[in-house]
Amino acid sequence: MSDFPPSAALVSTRAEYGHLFSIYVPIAAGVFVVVVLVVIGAILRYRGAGAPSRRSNATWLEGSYALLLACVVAFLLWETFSAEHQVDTVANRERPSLTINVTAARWEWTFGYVGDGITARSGRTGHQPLVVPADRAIRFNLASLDVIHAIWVPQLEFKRDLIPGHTGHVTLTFTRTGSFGGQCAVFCGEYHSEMTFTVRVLPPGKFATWLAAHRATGRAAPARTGAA
Amino acid sequence: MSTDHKRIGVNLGSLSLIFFLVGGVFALLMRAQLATPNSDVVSDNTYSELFTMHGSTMVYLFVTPIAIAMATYLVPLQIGASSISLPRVSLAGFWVWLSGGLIMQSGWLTAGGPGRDGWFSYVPLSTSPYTPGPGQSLWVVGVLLAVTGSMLMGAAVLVTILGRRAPGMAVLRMPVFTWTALVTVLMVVAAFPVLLVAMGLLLIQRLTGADIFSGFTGAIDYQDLFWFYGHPVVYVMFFPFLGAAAEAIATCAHRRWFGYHAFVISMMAFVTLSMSVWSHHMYITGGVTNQYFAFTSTLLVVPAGIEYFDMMGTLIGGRLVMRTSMLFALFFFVQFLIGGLSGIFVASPVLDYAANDTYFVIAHFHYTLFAGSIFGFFAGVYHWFPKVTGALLRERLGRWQLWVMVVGANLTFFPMFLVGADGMPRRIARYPQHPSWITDNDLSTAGAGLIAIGVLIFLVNLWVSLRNRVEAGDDPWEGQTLEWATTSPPPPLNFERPLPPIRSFAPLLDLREAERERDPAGPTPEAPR
Amino acid sequence: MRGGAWPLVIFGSLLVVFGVGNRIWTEDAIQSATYAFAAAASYLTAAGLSFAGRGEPARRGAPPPVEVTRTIPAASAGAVTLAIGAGALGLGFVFGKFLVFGGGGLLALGCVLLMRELHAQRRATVGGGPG
Repeated sequence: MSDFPPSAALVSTRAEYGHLFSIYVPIAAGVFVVVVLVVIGAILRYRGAGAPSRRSNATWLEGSYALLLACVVAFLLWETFSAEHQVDTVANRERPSLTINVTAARWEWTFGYVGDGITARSGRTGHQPLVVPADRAIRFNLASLDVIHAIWVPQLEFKRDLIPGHTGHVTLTFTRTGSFGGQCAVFCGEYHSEMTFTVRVLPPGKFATWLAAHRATGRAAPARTGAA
Repeated sequence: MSTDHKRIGVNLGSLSLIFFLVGGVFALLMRAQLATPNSDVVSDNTYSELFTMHGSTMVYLFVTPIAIAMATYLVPLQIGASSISLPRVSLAGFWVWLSGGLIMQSGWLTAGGPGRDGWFSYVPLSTSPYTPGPGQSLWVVGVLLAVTGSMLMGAAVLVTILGRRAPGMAVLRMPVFTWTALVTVLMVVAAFPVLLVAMGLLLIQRLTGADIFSGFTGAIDYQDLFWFYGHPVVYVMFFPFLGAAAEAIATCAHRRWFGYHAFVISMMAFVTLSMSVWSHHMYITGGVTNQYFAFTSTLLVVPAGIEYFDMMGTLIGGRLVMRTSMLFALFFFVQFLIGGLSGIFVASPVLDYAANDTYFVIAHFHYTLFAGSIFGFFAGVYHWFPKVTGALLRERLGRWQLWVMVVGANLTFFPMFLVGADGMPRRIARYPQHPSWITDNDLSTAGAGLIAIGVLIFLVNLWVSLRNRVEAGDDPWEGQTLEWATTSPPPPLNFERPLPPIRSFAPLLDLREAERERDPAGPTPEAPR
Repeated sequence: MRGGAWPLVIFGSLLVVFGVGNRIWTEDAIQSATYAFAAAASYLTAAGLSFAGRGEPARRGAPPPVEVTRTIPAASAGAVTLAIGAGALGLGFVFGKFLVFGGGGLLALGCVLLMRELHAQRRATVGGGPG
């Protein structure tokens, strides 16, 4: 277990997303309801009403309203910038417990466990799962051999492009154990929809066992492990 | 051949509508494919062609040109001009656009099929090693020509607005629609040429193999150039319909558009911001500064909020008559709001890391473009059809169309939010057998069918209204702007009678109000239609 | 500012403001270049309009005076020929030389036709009198 020391308070993309979601969506829903109620109210009240009002400006009201909107914008940006700082900056400063080279090519993913000699492939040709430990920072080096792809695991609420001619880096942490889907998110040609993979997130102890067992063979779990 | 702006506008509008039907058929085929998870209605390759040509047809050949068609037809009338400036440029633009559209669609006749890399065709996928064959090259040439044509027609509108206003029509007395047309063509002139550069370079790279967009930098540069056009163009596909909806609401509320000056200021802010947000399409590339674009994109809340404030301000205190044009305009605002609010959501990089390239984004921009802009377009159609043809559209058919399309649009696009948040990527021809995905996709497919029925009702309405004409007269709605001061349809040089004095952005309303002041007991307001 | 070009100037200036902000924040060369292009395009259009506006007759309200009416072209074969030539030229890049030559020829013909139209129009305007 000394191979995988738990680091303190890892950034969770899922948690950051959830936090922002819980701010943005209620505000949006509130605004929508208010506008709809005002429109319906105005229709009920002023449909076929008498002489229309000739007032055509409300400078003070409009000014303060614009100011209110600006405050909302400032609040949203504050929250967004803090979350973005966590995901894009703080996470990449974490010391990873595991480094995986991700190579995308039409229409297959190759996951190479750096230093362990293990390789897993998934996509059009087969489905070997990407096995990772939970609650550990994992560094992914992202490269593409042909066109632009994007690695996406909906469970993480995160995706990132893989662009040829450049190796990108992201540091991600899975907070739940289980099996999750993943796929290419940027259209990459005819069989784009088959460029999928499965992530198996194991408790750290189990992952260490898995790693020890596969380090020798140099291959990931044989073929598909069912629904696991 | 005619250089009359009204003929150019009507021709451009009619041909755009035909492209709308074509793009709609592509959409229906896609929805048929997605009705079941592992369907074989079309092959994977054909599916790529369909989503590419659906997006390209709608953006380059329908919504953008029909926005410009409305501006070309209406702007000279609204500002009291007898003709458009640069009429030959406008006419040439129309034909260049049309040849571009035909060339893009002609890809269907080639052995390898038409363009198939999406409406933004990122490099290196769209270079010839990865997408060989003439279809994709025809797509590039088609886009190049269609956008050149739109740009020429837009330039003619710009010069007209700034140089041909009637005496008294100061810039701050231009009608609301003309203002929205002005900011639209500002973007056309400042942003469209950048796309021509991107497409020109891509064409050279495809034809000669030159390594222009090369490696990581090349891929990012292409996206920067594309979206520098690609984001403003979504506002080109929004502002004129905002203007149309605003005119319809003000007219049906019998009062002038509320907060005109705030509206003008917010439009100037809006148009500049819309030129400054493009890289929010590139958050997940890791190649742009996400905070800057999150800042500008979220800032859009302010001018957009002002438009909604003005809309509500116009309704409150009006004398509302619920015509079809009014209903379409109100649904434009309400449904666009869903698109706008979800747009603020995806303007946040962290939220976009999840939502980008999923059906959530598809839902977002179809709420703006279809449930928004197209409803605004129909508000404009029901409002101005009597001016253009001299005949009224049938109200009862209009209401049927409206409600069928409201149900259809929401049924189609709302489930996409759910299935997208649940992890369904865009642009896949087949998807896993999740029960909720199947339900959501079936709802969308059913909704698409309803939209198609709504469009058919509209075509029936056009046919009936033009066959059994109900004469509209010059001004059936108590219009407020100068186009209602001439005959329907307007004569070749637009105005045969002297123009009324222009003292505000609603000169005909000024006359009516002055009359009522002189004689308060005078003719009672006509009964609501 | 003649020709009412001030919205263009405001637009260009706001673009400069945002472009400078973008430069400071992102230091991205291609983004600065696109901003610079857009700002330049709006300033140049404003300048062009103000310049072209100098010689214009007084604002054209309606109905236009007879001399003005005559200068409004009813149709333009030149513009259409030019445009179709451009389309054929574009198609030719993909499908072969004969269309490039044909398109180029049409383009040239369109230019000639346009010149003749503009020339005839100018003669009608300068000539002044009836007929």
